[in-house]
Amino acid sequence: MQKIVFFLFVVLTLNLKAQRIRSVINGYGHMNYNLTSDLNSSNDPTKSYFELGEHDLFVNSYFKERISFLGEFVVRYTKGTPTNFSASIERARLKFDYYKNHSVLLGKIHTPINYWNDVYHHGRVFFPTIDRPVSFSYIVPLHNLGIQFQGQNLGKLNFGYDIAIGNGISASDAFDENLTPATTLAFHIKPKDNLRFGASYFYDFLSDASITGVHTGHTMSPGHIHGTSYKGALNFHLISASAAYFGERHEFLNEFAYSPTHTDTLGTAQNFSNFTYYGYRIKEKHVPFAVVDLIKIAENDLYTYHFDLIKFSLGYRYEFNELINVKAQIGYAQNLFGSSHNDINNVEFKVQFAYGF
Amino acid sequence: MVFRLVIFVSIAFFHLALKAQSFSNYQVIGNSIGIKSMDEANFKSCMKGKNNFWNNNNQVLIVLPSSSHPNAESISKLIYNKSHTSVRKYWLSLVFQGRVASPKFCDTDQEIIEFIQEKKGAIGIVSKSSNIPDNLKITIQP
Repeated sequence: MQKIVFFLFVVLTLNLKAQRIRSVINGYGHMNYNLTSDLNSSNDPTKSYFELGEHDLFVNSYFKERISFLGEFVVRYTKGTPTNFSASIERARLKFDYYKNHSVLLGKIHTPINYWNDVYHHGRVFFPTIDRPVSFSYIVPLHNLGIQFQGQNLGKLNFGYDIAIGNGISASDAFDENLTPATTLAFHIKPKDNLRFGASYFYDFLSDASITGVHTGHTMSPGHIHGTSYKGALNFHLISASAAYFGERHEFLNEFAYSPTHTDTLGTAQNFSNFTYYGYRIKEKHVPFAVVDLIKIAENDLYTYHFDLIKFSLGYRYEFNELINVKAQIGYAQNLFGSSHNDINNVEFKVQFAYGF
Repeated sequence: MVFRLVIFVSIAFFHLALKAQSFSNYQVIGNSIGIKSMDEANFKSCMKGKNNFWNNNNQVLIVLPSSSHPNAESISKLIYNKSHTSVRKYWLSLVFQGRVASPKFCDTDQEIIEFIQEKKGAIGIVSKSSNIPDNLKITIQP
């Protein structure tokens, strides 16, 4: 028996040695300079500071032709930790290409909602602007831990679909506090090169709306007093649509999200956000751009809480090459409808170096 | 008369520039991809990472010229209608999204040929003047 086990061990070891794992390892990072001013504040309204941004280790490995692993491990500034930095696993998933362009994925993914979350993730060097859409901080469920079925580039329209089921926005990477999984249904088409239209639906049931979990950028409204959050059950829906065109000259992206949340206490809250980006490539490396970004969280919302904002930005991107660029951006943010809970009246100037290696 | 001459020279120059970017100067090569000819649109689609597998179930492995390759710019224009930098950015982004396997970038035609000879399912493009084994040649129909 021992001889058989030894023989099997030797055969397996030799077999593994014979298979070379093909891996791609990249790093991504960014650094910012920020000059911000709160026009409503009389005490030290202006702040100027440098910021060491997220640093991201990206690994993509092929074990066999049809089985691959993708991991994204991020270190970022986190106030309150012993070193003021923390590490997180942003993506860790196994992918099995079971038939042609159809795959099944298992693990932690970026929820395939809209264009930005599906395409850019943490790679600032790919971002067309400095900041993510504002909705990322409030209503977009960024991650999902579970199983995903994916198809891409199907037929003449390059149809793609994603169906994901897993731990939702109130869950951690090791635990979910209720039986109902978060569900994502998404599709997109790419009728021509550089053009993509997409739509998606996301649903999650939160048995305790005050638990924020790790799968969302969930920041509550700036005016909300923490510790007073609603602890009851909440139904979270997000319906989104996006149009993206990144051609040789023109770049355009619009992301719309409508997110009704329902509680037995205050009924259904109608929340929405919209992000519009336009850039024009003057020469190969120079891209001036403009952004209008807005969000409205209804007064009866018990997840993010009442809040609204509209932000205008003008910027300029210079791409040294595909691995490093610098962006400069001026922005002005104010209330969209005049929120009663917080007054926003800010101007900002930012510069960002984003790189990959 | 001078105006007509300028127009004629411009058209001739434009025609030559287009010809320089046509497939007539290049040979598509592939190893065990299950076909010996394909049309131009299919080839371009394949080189854009739109198929994970060939019909014979071999994985599509794309081989491209690196920035050190002398034909990097012209091949990028020919297949992607983009600069070589934009092509590298295109692939970096697709790999980062986790949608495709990373292509192999080679410095010379000889390196491309040797790599494709070794890997089943690999496809690439080299100058017609290269020393190409017949069994790798793929005919491109316009």
